[in-house]
Amino acid sequence: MLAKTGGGKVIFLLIIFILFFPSVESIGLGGMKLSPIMYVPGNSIVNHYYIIDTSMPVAITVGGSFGNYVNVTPAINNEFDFIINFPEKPIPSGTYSLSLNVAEVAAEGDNTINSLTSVSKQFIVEVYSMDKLIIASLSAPSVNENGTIHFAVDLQSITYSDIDSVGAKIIISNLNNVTLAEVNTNRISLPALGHETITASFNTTGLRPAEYFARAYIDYDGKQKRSDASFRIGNMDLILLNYTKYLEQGFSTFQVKVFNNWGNPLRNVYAKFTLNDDILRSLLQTPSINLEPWQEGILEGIVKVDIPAGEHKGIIQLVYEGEQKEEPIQFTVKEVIPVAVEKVKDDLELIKKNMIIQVMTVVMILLIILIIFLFKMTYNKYNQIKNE
Amino acid sequence: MKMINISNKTIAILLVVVMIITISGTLISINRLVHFSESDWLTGAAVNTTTGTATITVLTITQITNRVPTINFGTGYVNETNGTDVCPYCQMDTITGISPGNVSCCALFNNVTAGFLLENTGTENMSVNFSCVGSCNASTFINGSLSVHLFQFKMTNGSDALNRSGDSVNDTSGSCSSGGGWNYTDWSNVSNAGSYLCGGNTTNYFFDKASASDAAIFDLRVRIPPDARTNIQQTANFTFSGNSIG
Repeated sequence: MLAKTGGGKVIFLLIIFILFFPSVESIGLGGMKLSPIMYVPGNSIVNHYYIIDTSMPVAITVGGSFGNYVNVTPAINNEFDFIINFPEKPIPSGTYSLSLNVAEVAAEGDNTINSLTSVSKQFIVEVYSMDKLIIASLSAPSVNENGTIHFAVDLQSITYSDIDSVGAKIIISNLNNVTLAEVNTNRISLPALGHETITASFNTTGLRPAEYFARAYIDYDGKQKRSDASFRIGNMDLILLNYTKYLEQGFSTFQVKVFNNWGNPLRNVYAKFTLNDDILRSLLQTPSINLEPWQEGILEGIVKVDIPAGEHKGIIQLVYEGEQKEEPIQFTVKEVIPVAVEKVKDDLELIKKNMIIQVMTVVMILLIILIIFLFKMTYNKYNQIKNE
Repeated sequence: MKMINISNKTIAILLVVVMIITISGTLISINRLVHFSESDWLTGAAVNTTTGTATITVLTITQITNRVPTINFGTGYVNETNGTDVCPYCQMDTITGISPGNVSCCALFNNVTAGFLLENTGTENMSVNFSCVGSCNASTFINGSLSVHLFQFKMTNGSDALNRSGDSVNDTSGSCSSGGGWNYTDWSNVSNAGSYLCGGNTTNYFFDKASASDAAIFDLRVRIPPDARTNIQQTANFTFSGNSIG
């Protein structure tokens, strides 16, 4: 029983709580993403799910054309397992559906129009055929000049039949589509739904540093597949990709974007930025950085721009591993808009005035306190003398 | 000599005032100085970094929330002869409440101005549909003259709704835009079978998950003729289902 004095307050707070407590219907279902699911005869998949943000009883149901192969464990603390047991028997190939539904269960209500929420996760089950089919992907890593490139073709079987023999011919061409060479990979057998890699090596001696193109023709038990990749033959070089083309008068950030065209790290990489109008004048030397193989990087620094607005010529000198190269550039200097500086000055003036007013106010109040204190002392002394 | 006796308490209060003025003044000045940070007061900073390894598993959440779970038009009657006016019906909807010009006809009913506010509160885009159990058409929910009674619904983007209170973040754009907009943006009859509200089937995952475009309102409209069945409370239970890829 509520105490007589506090009971009223508690009831009042309860009413406020009930009135303002957000009344919502919500249901959520969380779990690892499964779809699309590959059908493997006799295989089992278990996925754990969490039912979230509902305060009502729920019903869990499974649907779809693959629903017969699914079991759901009872929900304990709003968590349950979703278990797919694929049958051993062959199933016609195709794409099948599967769904998992969690729905709030209706409760008796006084309202004329009520609502409930439910959520479903929809899965696709891919059933492959006995017809032989693969997914193939060619990878071609970039190499240094005169190096050997190791091509790799990843093979994923999407059939329930074994593939007796699979291999590939790789044709190398330049960007003008002129064939330069061809190599053959090893041949292997590929088990049903298996994953394997076939490889081939190619010595790039005689090819100059540039971008190249490779195409793999994969043949397997009388069928063919194709996969493409591009690669780079590199040398110890730092390539200028981009730079800051517009600078503002005063202090401005100048950036140089570069690319390490080498299959090894480049150490102590930096840039020098020089004005090259009528006279040569050094404007900036950036801090140095290190670049990993085939990595892009940005060299930057603050440059003092005290030259007239307009178009200017310059030189970017790229320095790396003790080597250096020069790239002529053009850039534009823009006038600074003075409004911002004026605003800062105005604000500083205002702060100065505010501080003076503040100090004067404090001094005045302190003076008042001092005067009151002195008066009080005098008054106390006067009273003391009078009493004596 | 007569003097006003000023207590130590008064002096202490004055000293506190001085302190407040000093501290607040300093804070105001610092605040103004901080505003200058937009003018790049800090031009460079050195950092020291180290590396570590962390693992995380992120779940996909399919979640639908109805911020307005009940609609209760209450108990009332059609005030058929209201003075010299004759009321052919009482019409109410959850957008404007009791229809303007029809207020005196709807006696004692609640003036409801909030429809079901649906929000995609998960991490996945969804398809969304509804179904209804109970008295889910005008004949069973309202009854009375066939030519008059209505039990209808319509969909509105959260960003376009007159009343979207409850949306966790007020929407600024359409929540079913990738599906060409919500279906049933005009008043349509409620039915037990229900329908897809965004997109045309379960795998049309167009109900957006982004917080500024993840809400929609399912509004209801009822029109009650004077000869509607009386003394029996009719109920309609709506279920809103969100579906995402699993």
